[in-house]
Amino acid sequence: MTVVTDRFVSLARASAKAAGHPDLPLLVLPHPFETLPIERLHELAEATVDECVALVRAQPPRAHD
Amino acid sequence: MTRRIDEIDLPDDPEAIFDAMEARGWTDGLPVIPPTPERVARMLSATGRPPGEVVARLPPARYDATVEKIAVNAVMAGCRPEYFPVVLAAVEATADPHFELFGVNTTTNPTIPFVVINGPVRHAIDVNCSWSVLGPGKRANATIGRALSLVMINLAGRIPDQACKATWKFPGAFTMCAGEYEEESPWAPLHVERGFARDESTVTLLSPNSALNVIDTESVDAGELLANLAAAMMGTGGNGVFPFYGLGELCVMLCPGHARLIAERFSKQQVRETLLERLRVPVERLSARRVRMMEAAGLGQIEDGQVRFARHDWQFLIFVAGGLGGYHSAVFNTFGDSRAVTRRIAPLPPAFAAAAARSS
Repeated sequence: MTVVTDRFVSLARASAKAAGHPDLPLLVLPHPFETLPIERLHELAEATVDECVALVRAQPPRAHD
Repeated sequence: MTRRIDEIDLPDDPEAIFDAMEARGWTDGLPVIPPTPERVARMLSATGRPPGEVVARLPPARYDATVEKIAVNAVMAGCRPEYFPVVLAAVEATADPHFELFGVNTTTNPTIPFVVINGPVRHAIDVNCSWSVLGPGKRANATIGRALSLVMINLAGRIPDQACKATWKFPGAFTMCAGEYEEESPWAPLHVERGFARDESTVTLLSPNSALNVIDTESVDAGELLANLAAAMMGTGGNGVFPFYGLGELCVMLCPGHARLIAERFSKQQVRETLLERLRVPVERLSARRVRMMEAAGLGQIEDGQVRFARHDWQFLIFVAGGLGGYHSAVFNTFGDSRAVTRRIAPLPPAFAAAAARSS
């Protein structure tokens, strides 16, 4: 799985497809990310950590050539 | 992944052909030469490599960039067949992992591939190294850079908004190609410094984010000129003073007049060492948040209360180009950790060279 902000979903999808993983699970976070105050970052982490863990644990998709 | 070459029938009209190719997303927004099978065959005659050979799989799309598909793009760009070995070498250079093409093609930075040509091929195909270099006028410069750009669009998927997330793009993205003015350089040319023989021809690929003009018409001392150059290079918008990139390169294109004056007292290596030492600003020039992030990144950019623009002399790439008589050099911040890559340009096949000699 990969973490990506909503502005970069098309790049993540294109890259995953080119790498043979068109169904790669994405955890999509709202943009912006890097300019958030640290408190908001912590809130975001708390709000998304369960989904992140679930995606990491999910069966990885089969690679395509 | 593969991307098929389809033959399509189009009306024999330049505008209709342009419209049709634009509608398919195959152009950079400018008119192209229709890549007919005959024209592609002529382009292919300038290399001994088989048409189906995969030269590279360029990110992010990683389509098979075969010799033939690169030839199609070279035709579209307006290249003469004798430029084709240069285009092939440029494509190979961008595929080197050190160039970090995935980042170059997808980053929010404005970065683009910049082709610097060295060696005898500059004369053979009339590459501009002098007045108005990087500007319009010479077909070799204009179309070699453009061919690489079209390859990035059609074979690497550098499509704005889809995979290319550049906030804005340096206009060199259309084409950016210069020859080094080796005859007016007081030092060894770039490709010799990088391990090639002087009589070999090479391309060196750089990844500039922008260009900064450095005017100095008044210095009569090499040290003064170098001090002015260093001062101009200390803008804090470059990637070298960004938290995640500590080892990016800074490229300096010295005009012949500046190079001559500096060489009165400095070897090129001494220029690099001087710039390495001088390029530092007090941390107060940057925001406290950025300084904290740089400290956390731990790349050694902050030293004794100063932010260093580089940590190694090899981060400075220096070559000579530009018109005679003017005193303007250029500085290019490059992208992130992308490193310059140099590749040898293959000579034209004997049969091609013989045919060219007959027709001339």
